Amino acid sequence: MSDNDSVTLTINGREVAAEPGRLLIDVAEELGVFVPRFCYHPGMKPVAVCRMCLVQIEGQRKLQPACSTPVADGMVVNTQEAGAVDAQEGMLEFLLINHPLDCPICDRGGECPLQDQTYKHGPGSSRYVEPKRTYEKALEISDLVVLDRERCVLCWRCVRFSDEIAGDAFIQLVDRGPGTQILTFNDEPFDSYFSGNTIQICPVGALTSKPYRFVARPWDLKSAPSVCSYCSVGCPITNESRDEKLVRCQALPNENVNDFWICDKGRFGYHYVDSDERLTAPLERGANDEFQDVSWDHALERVAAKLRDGARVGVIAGGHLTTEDAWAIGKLAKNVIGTRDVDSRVADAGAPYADVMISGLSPAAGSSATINDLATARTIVWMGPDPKEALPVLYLKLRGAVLDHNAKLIVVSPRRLSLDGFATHVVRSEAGGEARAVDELMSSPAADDIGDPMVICWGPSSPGRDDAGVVAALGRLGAARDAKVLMCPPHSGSQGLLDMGVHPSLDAGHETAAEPGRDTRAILQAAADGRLDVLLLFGADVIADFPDADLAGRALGGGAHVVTVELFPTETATRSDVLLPSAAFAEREGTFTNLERRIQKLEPLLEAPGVAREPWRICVALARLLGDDWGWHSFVDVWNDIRSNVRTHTEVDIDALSARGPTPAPQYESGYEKDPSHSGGVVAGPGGQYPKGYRSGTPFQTGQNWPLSWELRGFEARQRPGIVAGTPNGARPSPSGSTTSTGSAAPDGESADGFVLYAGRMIYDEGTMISKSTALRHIARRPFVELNEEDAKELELSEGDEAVVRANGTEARLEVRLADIARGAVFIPYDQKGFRANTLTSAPRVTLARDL
Amino acid sequence: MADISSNGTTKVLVGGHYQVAKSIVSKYPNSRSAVLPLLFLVQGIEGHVTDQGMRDVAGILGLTPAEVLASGSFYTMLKKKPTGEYLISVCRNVSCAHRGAHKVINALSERLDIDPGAVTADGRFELETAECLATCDGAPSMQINYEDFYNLTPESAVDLVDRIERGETVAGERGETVRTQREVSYETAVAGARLPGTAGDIEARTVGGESPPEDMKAGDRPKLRDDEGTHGG
Ligand code: SF4
Ligand code: SF4
Ligand code: FES
Ligand code: FES
Repeated sequence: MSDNDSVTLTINGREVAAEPGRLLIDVAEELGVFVPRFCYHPGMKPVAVCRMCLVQIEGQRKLQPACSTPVADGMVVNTQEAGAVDAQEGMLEFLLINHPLDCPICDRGGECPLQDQTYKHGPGSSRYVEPKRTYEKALEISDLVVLDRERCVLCWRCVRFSDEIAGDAFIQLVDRGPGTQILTFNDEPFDSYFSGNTIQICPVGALTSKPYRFVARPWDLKSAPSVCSYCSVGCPITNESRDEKLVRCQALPNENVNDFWICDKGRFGYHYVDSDERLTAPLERGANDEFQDVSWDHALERVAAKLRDGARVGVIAGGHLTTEDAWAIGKLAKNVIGTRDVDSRVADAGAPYADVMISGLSPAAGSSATINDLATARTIVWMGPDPKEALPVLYLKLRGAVLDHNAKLIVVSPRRLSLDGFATHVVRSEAGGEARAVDELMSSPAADDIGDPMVICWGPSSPGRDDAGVVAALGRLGAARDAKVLMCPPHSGSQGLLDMGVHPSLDAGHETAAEPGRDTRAILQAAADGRLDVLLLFGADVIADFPDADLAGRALGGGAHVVTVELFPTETATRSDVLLPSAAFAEREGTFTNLERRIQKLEPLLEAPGVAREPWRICVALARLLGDDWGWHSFVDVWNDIRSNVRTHTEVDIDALSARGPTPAPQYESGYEKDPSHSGGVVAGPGGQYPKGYRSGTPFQTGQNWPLSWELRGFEARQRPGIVAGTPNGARPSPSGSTTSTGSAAPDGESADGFVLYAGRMIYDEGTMISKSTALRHIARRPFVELNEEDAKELELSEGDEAVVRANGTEARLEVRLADIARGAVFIPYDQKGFRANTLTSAPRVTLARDL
Repeated sequence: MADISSNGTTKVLVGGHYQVAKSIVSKYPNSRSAVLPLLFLVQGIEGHVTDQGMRDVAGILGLTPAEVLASGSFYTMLKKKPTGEYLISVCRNVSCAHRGAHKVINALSERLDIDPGAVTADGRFELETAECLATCDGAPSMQINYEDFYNLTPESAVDLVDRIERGETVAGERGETVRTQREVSYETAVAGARLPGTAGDIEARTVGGESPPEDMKAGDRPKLRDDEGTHGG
C-alpha cells in the first residue's frame, strides 16, 4: 500500500505509513515509540554520534541509529529487541563512566534527559570503579552561560547549534579521546546573541544559565506558555516562576515562527517583570508636585473628568501592548472620547505601514507573506533594519532560507548588515538613496537572481531613510512579479495595534479612516503648542523612544493633562499628572500579533504587583465613567467584541489559540503505565500547569514522568501554532489618506548639509524593559558613530576618536568607528550606555566634527 | 594588513609568512581544508601552535578561532605548549615493551634529566612515550622528530642524543636526516604549495603533498580512479 508519497513500515509490530526520506526516530516518535537519544535534535541535522538511538532493523546485520536512518518501504523495526536494549544499557553505562552524577546540585536535575533515559534505559548499576575524569567545575564562558565540562556527554548539540543555526561557531569540542571537552577559544567568551539555546538543548547540566543557576528545582516551578514581549517576531516561550517570581523563560517550539529557538534578549530579559521599580498603584500629582498613591476609583474619575465635555485629546500607544489593549484603546479614543488623534508609532514614528497596502504589496497594512515563506522563496529582498540586532530570530530564519533552502538574498542597505555575510547580492545604496537602489535592482547584477516566488522584507529603520519612497519602490518591484511582503514593525505589539486601528488613518481591520487624525508627531506638536487638553499615553515612553526627544519634552510641558499607563516610572511617566500601573506580559491573558500577523496567546503566570491592571481594563473603566458600558469582564468578552466588529478577525478562534491537549494523544510506549490522572500526554494546558506527575509530582518516580525532555515538550507547542488573521479584500485606502505628519523627515530649515543619519536598535540597549534585566543590562555597548573611512579622513577622524555630532542644536560626543557604510551616511545606535540617540534623531541629517 | 592584532599581540602570519599562507590556501578547492597545514606553518615559525597563530589562521580562513582550536587540538603532532627542538618518542607498546623499551626510556630519562612528557631546561629535547609506531619489526623503536630508529639499546639511544647535542648530523633508519621540530613543521606545511618566488612545487617530503589537478574548482570532489568508480558514486 505504498506509493511515491508514502512508505509503509512496521515499528514494534505496528504498521505505519510515512513520507519517504523522513527519519526513523521522528516517525517512531509520532507513533508514540520514543527512541532514546542525546545527539539528535529535531531542529538540527542528524550526526549520529552518541549511538544512544540504536534500533534493530530486520535484515540488517548491525543495529542502526534511528536518528540518521530514513524510513524505507517494508522496513521492520524493533526498538525493544534484546540487542537494542543491550546497546542502550551499554551506552548509558559508558556515558556514566565519567559523568559526575552530581544531580543534587545540578540545575538540570529533574528535567534531565540523561537522568530520565538512565532511569528508563540504563543498566541500573555500573561496573566501573576507577576514578572519574575531573575538570575545574564551573567555567563562566560568557555573561550568560556557565559550563561544567564534567557533565558533558559530547553530543555536539551546542556545537552544531552555534555553527549550523546561529553561525557563531564560538563553542567547540577540543582535544581528543577521553580528554575531549567543550570549550571556547581560550578566554574568549561565548559571545552569541543566541547562546541561551544551547542551555536549553544541552541534554545534561553541562551548560547552565547564569541568571537561573541554583535558583529553582524544576519541580518547584510553575509554568505558563506565553509569547516574548520584545520584538515583533513573537517567539513563543514558557514563563516559569518560583515563589511568584519569574525565574526562567525558555523557547517553546513553533515551526511556523521560531522553530526551537529564541534570542538571548527574549530568554534573559525577563527581570523587568519582577523589578522593584514596577508601579503598583495609581499615582496622582499632588499640590506640592509630589506623587500620591490614590485608589483606582479616584484616579479614573479624575481622568474621566478631564476627558469629558469635548476635551481635545491625543492618544499614543507604545509597541508592547496586546491586541486586546489595542482594540480597547482604539475604541475608547474613537467611539467614546471621539478623537481620531491616535497613533501607535513611537520609536517608528511616521513609518508608512499603510503604504504597504496602498502600494499593492499586501492587502493589509501588514505582511502578506509568512515567516515560513522565506524558506520556500527563490528570492528574498531585505530592506530593513539589521535583523540580527532588531529581530534576532528572523535573522536565523533568513540565514536558514539562504543556507539550507538556497533562497537568493538581496540586501539593499547603505551600511553593512549581519546578513551581508551570506547574502547573494549586497547592494550598497548611497546615503538616502535606497529607493533608487530598489528601482535599479532589475538592471543590476542582482537581476539574474530575481525570480518567483519572491518575498520582499521591509521594516522601517531610520530617520534618514525616505521610507515612503522605499515602500513605493518596493511596490513597483513587487507588482511586476506578484511578490509577497513581510512587513517588520519593531515591537511585540506593533502589528496588533495596526490591526486594531490604533493609527491616525486606519481603522480596525485595515479600513481607511474617513477623516484621518494626527499622527504621533502631530499629536506631540499640538500638545507642545498648548492645543491639547489631555494626552493619554499607553505604554508610550515618548521622551525615551520618540525620535525627537526635545519635541516630546515640550509636549509634556505644554499644559495638557498627561495620563500615563505604564509598567515603570519612566521619564515620561514621572512628568505626567496621573500614572496608572499596568500589568506585564507574564501577568496577563492576552495575545500578541507578530510581524506575519500571527496571533499567539499569552497565559498569565503571576499576579500583577499591587493593583496594576491590564490596559484594556483601564479603558473599560474609563469608558464606563464616560457613559459607555462595554460589558467586558474577560479576555473572551474582548474577543467577542473584536470578532463582531473587526472584519479581518471574525474567524479568529480563541479557543484554538489556547489549544488544550494534543490530538491524538501520543501514548508513549516507554514500558511505563500511563498516569491515570491525565489523558493528554505531555501538554501544557492553558493556565500553565504541566500535567500532574510532571511538574507537580515527585520527579524521581519516573514511571509517571517519562518523558520529560524538551524535545518532547515540542508536542505541546505544535498544538499552539497561533492563527494568522484574515486580510481585508478590495477596499484600499487612497494615498491621500495615508499621512498627516507635519513633515516628519523634512530637514528643519537646514540645508542638505551634513551626513544622512541612520539610527538603529542593537539587541541589548538601555531600553526600559531590558535595563531592568540583571543579566543583560551591562552588555549594552558604549555609544558610537559609524562612519565611512574616506569621510573620516576628510574630517581628520580615525577609529576610536571622539567626534562631536550635532543636529538641531543638540550635540553629543561619540566614539568613531570606521565601517562599511555609504559615504555621506553615519549610523548611531539607540539607547547605548548613557546616550539617548533620539536627542539627535529629530533631523534626518547631522554634522560631524573632530573634538578639539 | 596590520601586524598587530586587535588584542595587541603581534601577528604571526604577516609579511612573507602571510604570502606563504596564501599560497598554501590556494592549493585547496575549499580553503577550510588548509587549516592543518596553516597550523603546521605556525608551528614551523613559532615552535608551537600559539594562540595568536590560531587567531591568524582563523582570520585567513574565515573561521572562528574556536573552530581552529577544535581542529588543531585533535592532533598530537600540533603542539599547544612550547616543545623541545628534538622530540624523542619512544614506543612502549607490546612488542617494544617485550624487547626492553622501558630500559631505553629510563636511560634517556636519566641522560636528559627529565621525566617522559617534559622538556629539558635548555629547550633542546623533549621525551615522550608513544604507542605502537608501526615499526614493531625494529622493536624497541623510537622516533626523533618523526624519523625512525630501530633495535635500540639504552646505550645506542643515549648515543643518538649525545651526537645531536654535539651538532652532528644524525640520520634515521630510512636515511633521512633528523631536522628540528620547526623545520619539520614548516616542510609539512608547505608540502605541495607553490611558494612565492619559486617556480614549482616544494617537494613533499614528509606528508601528502599531492597537488590538485589544474582544472579543479572550489567544491569539486577529487576524481575517482576508473576502478573506483562503481561504489558510492
Ligand atoms: S555541553 Fe551539552 S550540548 Fe554541548 S556537547 Fe556537551 S552535553 Fe552536548
Ligand atoms: S527574536 Fe524577538 S520575539 Fe524572539 S525571543 Fe528575541 S526578542 Fe523575543
Ligand atoms: S541520537 Fe542517534 S546517534 Fe545520537
Ligand atoms: S609496539 Fe613498538 S612499534 Fe609497534
